[in-house]
Amino acid sequence: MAAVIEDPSVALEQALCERFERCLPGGVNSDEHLVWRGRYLTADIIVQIGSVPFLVRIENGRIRECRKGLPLLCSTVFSVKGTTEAWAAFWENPPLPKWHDIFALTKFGHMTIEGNVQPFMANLQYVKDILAMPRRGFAK
Amino acid sequence: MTKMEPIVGRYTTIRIMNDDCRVYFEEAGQGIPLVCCHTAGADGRQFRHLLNDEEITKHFRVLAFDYPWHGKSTPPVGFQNYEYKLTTELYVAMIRSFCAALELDHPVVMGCSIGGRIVLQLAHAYGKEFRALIGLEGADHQQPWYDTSWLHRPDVHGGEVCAALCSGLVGATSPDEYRHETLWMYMQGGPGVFKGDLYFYRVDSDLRGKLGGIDTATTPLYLLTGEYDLSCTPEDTIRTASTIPGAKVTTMKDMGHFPMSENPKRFKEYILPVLHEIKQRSVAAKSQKA
Repeated sequence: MAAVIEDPSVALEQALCERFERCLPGGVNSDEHLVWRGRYLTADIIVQIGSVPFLVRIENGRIRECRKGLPLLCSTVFSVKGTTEAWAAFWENPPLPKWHDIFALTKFGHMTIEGNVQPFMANLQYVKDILAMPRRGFAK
Repeated sequence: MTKMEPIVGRYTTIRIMNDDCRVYFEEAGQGIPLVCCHTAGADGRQFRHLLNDEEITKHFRVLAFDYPWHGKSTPPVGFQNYEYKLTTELYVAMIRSFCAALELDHPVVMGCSIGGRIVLQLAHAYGKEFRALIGLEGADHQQPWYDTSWLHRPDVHGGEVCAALCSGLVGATSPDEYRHETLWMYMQGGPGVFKGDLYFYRVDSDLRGKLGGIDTATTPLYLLTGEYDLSCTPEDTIRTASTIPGAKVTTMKDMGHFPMSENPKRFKEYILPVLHEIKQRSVAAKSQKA
């Protein structure tokens, strides 16, 4: 039987994590053009939704693994961390002004992008598109 | 024969500060000259919908020029020997030289983004030369949201990163066709040109507290900003307008940083009343003189 979650913020965080997991890796890997656009990116990155970190392992634009929680001493290239409020608003369709882009979220203090930012900037539209994928409602 | 658009493109060489610059511009229509100034790192194609709109061109001679280094305008001779940096002084000279070279009689200048910022400086320093000024996505200053050094370095593709950054400036509901056309222009800029334009934006044009003496009774000033513009937010524009008596502010719903190119139909709803007001004012002034 599923655990009953009473705290609405915890429930929201869990729902957001589930949405993310429905899109990665399946949604990305089934979009051949998106994979092609990310073909020069091979990196392990962190995407954090509220308090929950995901390790996303990208290999030539394909998501090799998307796992909740970080293994001990895992090394990553960069991280994108947002509050639950930020991801919830960012994945609205359409999103509201000031919540519609990761740079809006960083500018207004709801998200941080840290680490070696060069691969992130060199593959910026690809990264933006995979992060925005739950907005498209990929359901597999 | 296929249907032709009414836009005509031409080249001219004009003196801008110390350089003779071969400048490309497009125009359509007749009547009040309306000079359109594009955003940083882009070119005059952003205004193609205005140039093609009969409702506008029957009363306005719409002119959109590519700044030197942009679009089909070439950089000045010797450009290969220095880094391009747009300054307030150069930007003002560029617009005034273009208007003078074409002998435009009290033109309206409409600029977007950096163009929205420079019309404030035009209003402040040379207001009387213009019939009206329109700033799209303009403010006296705004907080930076990324480090511009990413725009020009060998390990990041300049065109791709410029477009990817700008993709977040387009309104969330702007039509896909126009969103991607707008971004395509960003992919086509010369190396370092967007960054060079942003020297003006980020370093050389903090106009806060420097816009005294703007006479909006002589030269009306209109400021229109899209609600999705995360770079120049509506609050930035409203704050700026609050320091300029008589400035008229509009927040454009559904619109981002590139209203004229990202959502032309919606933009028309906002810009037509402004142009109508300018035209009525011109007609009234003419009849008073007569």
